[in-house]
Amino acid sequence: MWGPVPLAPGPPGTETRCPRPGAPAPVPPVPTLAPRSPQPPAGAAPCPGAEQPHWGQAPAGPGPGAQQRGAGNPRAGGGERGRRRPASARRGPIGRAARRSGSPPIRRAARAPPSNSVAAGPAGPAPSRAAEERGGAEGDGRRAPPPGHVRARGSRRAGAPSLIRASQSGAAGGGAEAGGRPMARRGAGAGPVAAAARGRERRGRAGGGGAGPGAAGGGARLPPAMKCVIAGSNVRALGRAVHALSRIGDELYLEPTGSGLSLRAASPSRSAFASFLLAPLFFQLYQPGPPAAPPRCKVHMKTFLGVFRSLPALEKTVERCLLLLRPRASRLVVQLHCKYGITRTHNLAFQECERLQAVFDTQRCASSLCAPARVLAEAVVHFPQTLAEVTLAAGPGGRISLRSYVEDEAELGKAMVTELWLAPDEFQAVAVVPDSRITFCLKEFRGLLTFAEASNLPLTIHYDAPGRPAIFTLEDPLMEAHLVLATLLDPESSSQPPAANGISHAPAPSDDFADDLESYMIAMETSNYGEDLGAPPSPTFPLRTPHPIESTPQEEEEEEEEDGAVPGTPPHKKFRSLFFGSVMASGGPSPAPSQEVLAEDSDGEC
Amino acid sequence: MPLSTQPLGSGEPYVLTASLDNARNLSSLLRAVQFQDHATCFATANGLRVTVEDAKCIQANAFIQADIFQEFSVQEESVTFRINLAVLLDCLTIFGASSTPGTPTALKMCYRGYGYPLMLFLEEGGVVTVCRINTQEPEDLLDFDFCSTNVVNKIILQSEGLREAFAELDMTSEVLQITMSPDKPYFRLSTFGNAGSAHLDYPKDSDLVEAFHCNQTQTNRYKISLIKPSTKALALSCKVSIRTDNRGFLSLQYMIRNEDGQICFVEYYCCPDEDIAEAEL
Repeated sequence: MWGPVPLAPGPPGTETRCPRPGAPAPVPPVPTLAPRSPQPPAGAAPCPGAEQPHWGQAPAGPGPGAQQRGAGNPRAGGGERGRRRPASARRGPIGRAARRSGSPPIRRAARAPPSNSVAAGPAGPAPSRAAEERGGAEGDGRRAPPPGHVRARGSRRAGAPSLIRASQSGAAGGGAEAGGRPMARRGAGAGPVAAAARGRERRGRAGGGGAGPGAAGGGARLPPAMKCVIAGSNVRALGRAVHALSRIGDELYLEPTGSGLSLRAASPSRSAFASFLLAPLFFQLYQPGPPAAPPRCKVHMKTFLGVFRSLPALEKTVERCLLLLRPRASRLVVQLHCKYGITRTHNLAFQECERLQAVFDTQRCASSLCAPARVLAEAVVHFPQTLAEVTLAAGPGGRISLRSYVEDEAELGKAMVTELWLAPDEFQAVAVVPDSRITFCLKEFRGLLTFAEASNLPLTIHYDAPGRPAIFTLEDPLMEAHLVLATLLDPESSSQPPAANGISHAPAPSDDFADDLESYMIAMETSNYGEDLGAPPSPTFPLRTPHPIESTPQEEEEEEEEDGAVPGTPPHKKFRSLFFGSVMASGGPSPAPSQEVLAEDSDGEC
Repeated sequence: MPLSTQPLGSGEPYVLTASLDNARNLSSLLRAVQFQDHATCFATANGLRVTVEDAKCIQANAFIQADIFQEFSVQEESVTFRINLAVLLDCLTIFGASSTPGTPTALKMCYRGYGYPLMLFLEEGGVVTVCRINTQEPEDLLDFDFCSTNVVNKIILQSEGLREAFAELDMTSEVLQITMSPDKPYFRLSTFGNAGSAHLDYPKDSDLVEAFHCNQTQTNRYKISLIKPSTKALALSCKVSIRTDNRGFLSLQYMIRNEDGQICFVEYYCCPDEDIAEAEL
């Protein structure tokens, strides 16, 4: 299925999105309609079925043949037994259509692609010309014997896969879509009505079950695909990174940027966040999307992990890995080229999304430690797998201790507590505040450690007061990784956590709590609707971002859904939630006020 | 061998007598077809065939040739009985499924005829276990009418190449789609799961492909739940022959080398999912 994919920013001339004045705006012939099955030269040499390879059809045993079977079995009346035909799967489990409609559309309807602000303005010559020409071409197509490309485009629009696998479902729904869509699109190109048409189109798309290929038919609407090729051992590193991320959350956020491909995940309760940034050097070939509108997507962690499930197999068989974002087809394509010329292609559904970003700053952490991953891994291995949290403390003489954290004082008598001390010379660097200590979750930390150990990288731990996030970092010329973990607020050490790490948190009195929570939730989810407005990337801060008035029902639904996750899954115990702003675009340095949005979970206050 | 125990019951002669020095040669093959509890055994002078069926759509046959056994005699033209395969396997591995290589379990299997139980005498290290498993009325078997002259496409692969593929099949997909074609993509396994589709392509000149005889592009879908049990046979096998006939029926033949280096076969037949066949017509 994987054909050559147009990586150039799509055929220009699709009315509104690419109003480059100088750009040639011919009818896009969509030359890249990936040839489904490129006809190879006639080398296939069909062999008539006579030749039997060295082991034939009927093994030497009693033979599967029908005659024998009929002849045998006197007791059962083998002779008169009619030949029963297999039911040919006629138990007809589920019609295909039914099955298809049953499959959950993974992806919520995509938000309108960025940069449509241009649509309002342009009405320039290029767009309208393009629209006209297109109209003409299609008209021709209807009248005259179809010029191949026009037809081809139509058919592609109808048949290309949409989220719900409509592609295979025959052309009924797809065809209708294809019929309706171009009208709206042409309207959008017409200038004055652009905005209205855009709205209509967006709604149409949402209703249609997602950014169908129809929307992408023009090619230039959605950002062109990202393409990365990863070779050999780096595929394993990628696999290990995915395994580490799979310990954090259920969704994997992928964002190709100029500085590399970023893979991120956050825990459902937002108490953990991890990001891996794979530098361009990590890849054999790295083509991120356009810098103005980098494609961002998230995929189900399980699905993505499925591709890299077996690390030993990855090591043994995979020679090359191709990552491809195909917004047209709404698919993230992961292609593994394995030994013996085998190609594994996974077309994964993805969801366009906001950027996932945790707010943290290692510079502001009072303490830091750096040790070879092996040292830490060997230390952590002594803790039982069931242990949730561990306390790291700086002791006298620069020694560092790791100790099981037992939540309940009453259980202290029963629980086994493991404690171990690491001498300062085990570490590459120790700069800790004396008597400081933090408690964090082991599970996520183990995940990162496994990665770090396999990559043979030193791990740096930055931490501050209890309750402030601890940041674990790995750095390498090819990649860097950050793991941000919430730490336990220790009632003994300080009732009022210092305003460290730049996060000025005003502990809310319980009366105000509702407000606090609300602002937290708003802050959590507010994304930059500048996308819709086409604003240039700017640091947006959740609290300040006004909700757009004209958010589509789809978007609201999305928000509600995600909001729902937050109160429903309060962070455990006394953990403070890390605050993750959903920042649409990275821009300048984040001013400090952004961090006011940090809020804490209910348990922490009660 | 201390297996020459006294015949139990009446003096009627056995219609089937078979002895085997290493019961694992039998049990591993039976396990390769064990996806249903009951199996039909069919013995002729050529050997023993054990057939398991499910859903009237899939049939698995394990062939154990007569020369795998140290002794194999059938007094009648053919002997057929149905038996609980799970029980049979439990008995065959009564001394442990993974006995150490040095101490094989010897087996003698006797069947007196219709209505009698199947007798198993198992011996390991001087300990003898006698098992009597009740047999059942044999049922009609499916006739897939899979005829080599109707075979359209045939590929022989080293099993290694399919093992990983089958292990990682996306089980959220309802079907496994098999494309065999003289042209690209030659041989493709596709799944269509909740989170997208996956395709596995084998070039025809791959080192894994031992024979490639495809005459016509065929795309058929098979219920993945029906195909999945064949993974057991795949795991044991060294080569697999994949054939489809003009109706889209699938035959998977697994060549299995047992511990003594002898070759046995396990064969799976599977019906295609109907709707795509209709679409093709």
